[in-house]
This record gives sequence, C-alpha cells and structure tokens, in this order.
Amino acid sequence: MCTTCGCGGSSDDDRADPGHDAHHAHGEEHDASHPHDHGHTHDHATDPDPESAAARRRLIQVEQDVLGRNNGIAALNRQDFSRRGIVALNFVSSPGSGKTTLLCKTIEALKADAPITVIEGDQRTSYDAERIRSTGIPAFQVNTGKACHLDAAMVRHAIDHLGPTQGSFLFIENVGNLVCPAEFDLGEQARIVILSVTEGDDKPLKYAPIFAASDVLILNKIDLAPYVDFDIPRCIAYARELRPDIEVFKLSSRTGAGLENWIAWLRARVVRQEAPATR
Amino acid sequence: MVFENAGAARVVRIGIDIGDLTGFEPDALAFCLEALIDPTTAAGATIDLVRIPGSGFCHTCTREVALARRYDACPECGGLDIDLRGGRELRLRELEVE
Ligand SMILES: Nc1nc2c(ncn2[C@@H]2O[C@H](COP(=O)(O)OP(=O)(O)O)[C@@H](O)[C@H]2O)c(=O)[nH]1
Ligand SMILES: [Mg+2]
Ligand SMILES: [Zn+2]
Ligand SMILES: [Zn+2]
Repeated sequence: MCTTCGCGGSSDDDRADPGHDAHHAHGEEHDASHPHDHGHTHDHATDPDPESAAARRRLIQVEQDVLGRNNGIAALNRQDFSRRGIVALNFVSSPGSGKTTLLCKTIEALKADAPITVIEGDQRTSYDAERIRSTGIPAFQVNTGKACHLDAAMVRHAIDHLGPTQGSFLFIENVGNLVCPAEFDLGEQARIVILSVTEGDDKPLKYAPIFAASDVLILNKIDLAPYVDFDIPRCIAYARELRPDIEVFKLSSRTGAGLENWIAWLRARVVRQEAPATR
Repeated sequence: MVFENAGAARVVRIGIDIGDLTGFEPDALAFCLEALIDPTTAAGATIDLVRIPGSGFCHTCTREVALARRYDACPECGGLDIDLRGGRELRLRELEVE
C-alpha cells in the first residue's frame, strides 16, 4: 500500500474525488479534518479505566523521518554515482507515454559512445527488461509488486546486480505513475519526465509535483500531434510555471524526429562528467 | 521497538509531522494508517497529524519566507535564490502510550 496516494487501500472513504487528481496540489486546498495545529487537546473517550490509564499514559519521542530514510539511501547512491562518474537518470511518466520505446531508441544512438545499463521498474513482468536486452544492453528488472514507484533501496539493490562501470549511463525507468515517484529521490543526477501528446497539455498543472521536481521534460509522440489538440507551447509554459529552468525536448520515439537534440544533451553530460577526471 | 522498550501496553496517539511540500496527502495517510494499525496494539489510536507549512530562506531578503509550492519564487522579492527549510518532512514524531 502506498501512503503517498493511499492506493491499495479501500475506496469507501468520503473524499469527493478519491482519484489521484485530488492529491498533491498543496498549499491552497487543505482544510482537511485530520490535520491540525499544535496545542490542540484530544479527548480519548474510550479508555476502559480512565483514571489509571491516564496516569500511566506518557509520551515517547520518536522523531523518525520516514522520507529521510529514503533520502539517506539516495544520498549513498548519488555518492557512488559521482565517485564512479556514472550518469544516472530517472525516467518518470504515466504508463504508455513511451519510456521504454525512448530508451531503446536512445540506446541505439548512444551505445557506441559509452557503456549503458538499465533498471526497469514495473509492478509485474519483465517485458521491458527483455525489450532493453534485445538492444544488447544489460537490464535489471525490479518488480515492485503493489508499490507504485521505485525507491532508493530498490535502486541500490539493482546496481549491485548490474555493476555499472566508470563513465557509463544508468537509465532508470520508474513505474508508470505521475504521482508517487515525485516523492522518492533515487540518487539520480537528473529526473526526466516524459509526457506524450495524447495525454493532454494540462498535465503539468494537474500533476504539478512531478513536473516541479523534474530537470527535463520530453514531449513524446509528436508524430501524433496533428491528430490531437495538444497545445505544445501552452504545455511548456505550464511546466515552466512550476520549474522555470526545465529543459524541454520535443521528439518522436517512433520516427526518430527530434531525437538528435536529446542525444546531444546526453552526450554533453558524459563529457562534463569526465572532464575533471582527465586532469 | 521504541514502543516495546518503553514497556507500554497500548498506543493511544500517533503523532506525525507531514510537510505541505511533500506529495503525502494527510487524509489518505491517516486513512491508510488507521487500517494498518487495526490489528495491532495501536488499534483505535488517535492519528495526530501536524502539517508543516512550506518555508525557505530567501538569500535576497535574508530571511525565511512562506512557500506554497516547492519551486515557487520568493513572495517578497520574486527571487528564486531560496533554500528550502520546512515542508518536506514526513516524520513519526511521537507516540503516546499507556
Ligand atoms: N506514435 C507513437 N507511438 C509511440 C511513440 N513512443 C512510444 N509509442 C508507442 O506507445 C506505446 C507505449 O510505449 P512504451 O514504450 O511501452 O511506454 P512506457 O509504458 O512508458 O514504457 C507503444 O505502443 C509504443 O509503440 C511515439 O513517439 N509515437
Ligand atoms: Mg515501459
Ligand atoms: Zn501511489
Ligand atoms: Zn526574497
């Protein structure tokens, strides 16, 4: 069960819109019943023996940071990556926007330049790892079961298996989900969010946290743009409201149109990484 | 484990800090937790969620400012030179036991 979105829980709670749409737009619309300010007093009306129970009652300070645990492992991953000059990229998107297709195309264009390994995250199956392996590149499939995102520990485990080498690319395909992966740092150098033009140009506004937390936006399936009402400039403007410096690439993983700019961006990252090491 | 060491029999309140700048939805979290603790010694415990508002230190204004979203500009000067301070936590703060 995911405490980010509550998925896996029962759906008979009383929220007006229990879908993901209702989540993550923070700051304005919270006036929910559970949260409240410090200093609030509680009435524990159900104590069987109120006097002695109340007398025994005491407070244990825990101060355990749940997200902090993930962040700690992510920091270790990040250290390993930078020590070994590995360019680790976290690819996030909704299911079907073309992550695996883009990775296969990217690998074909880049594999002569640098070693590449891939971590594939899906709830079930190893179809995507097999698609990657058919390009001749090692891939490790993580099946997350009910979890709807990869976490830093899963990535740590996968890199033990893959053993990415000095100066290589590590592509991490996250579980298809525009919500929960936003919260889980994997230790990557850059987060790449892919949005295909068939998904609607308003998605950055609807799923703001993941766009705000991404360094690169790839607008995929531009070969289909003539058939849908996807306003590309508007979508980019929405994304830049959330993340003013987000880098944008428009491409088709199917036809290869626009792929060269994206590949050039990737090449520049290895060069930049290697530069200090050659001195 | 903290709980066992304290020799307590029952958890009556679970105190959690939840940052406004995380994607964690207080209602959904409370709902999940209530279900999770049902078969435990914490069954029926009050889930005490305290929201931590987003804040950051603006280097231009040289003071802490409120942030509604993660990459928002400073509400005072419009600048982006801000270090995030509060709002990114999901912390089990305390347990009240008896
Ligand atoms: N027309 C078109 N289809 C694409 C493009 N990229 C991916 N697809 C198709 O979209 C579907 C989902 O792609 P996949 O790579 O499995 O998406 P993932 O779930 O994000 O990994 C497949 O049928 C792909 O062939 C594209 O640029 N143009
Ligand atoms: Mg895939
Ligand atoms: Zn989820
Ligand atoms: Zn300021």
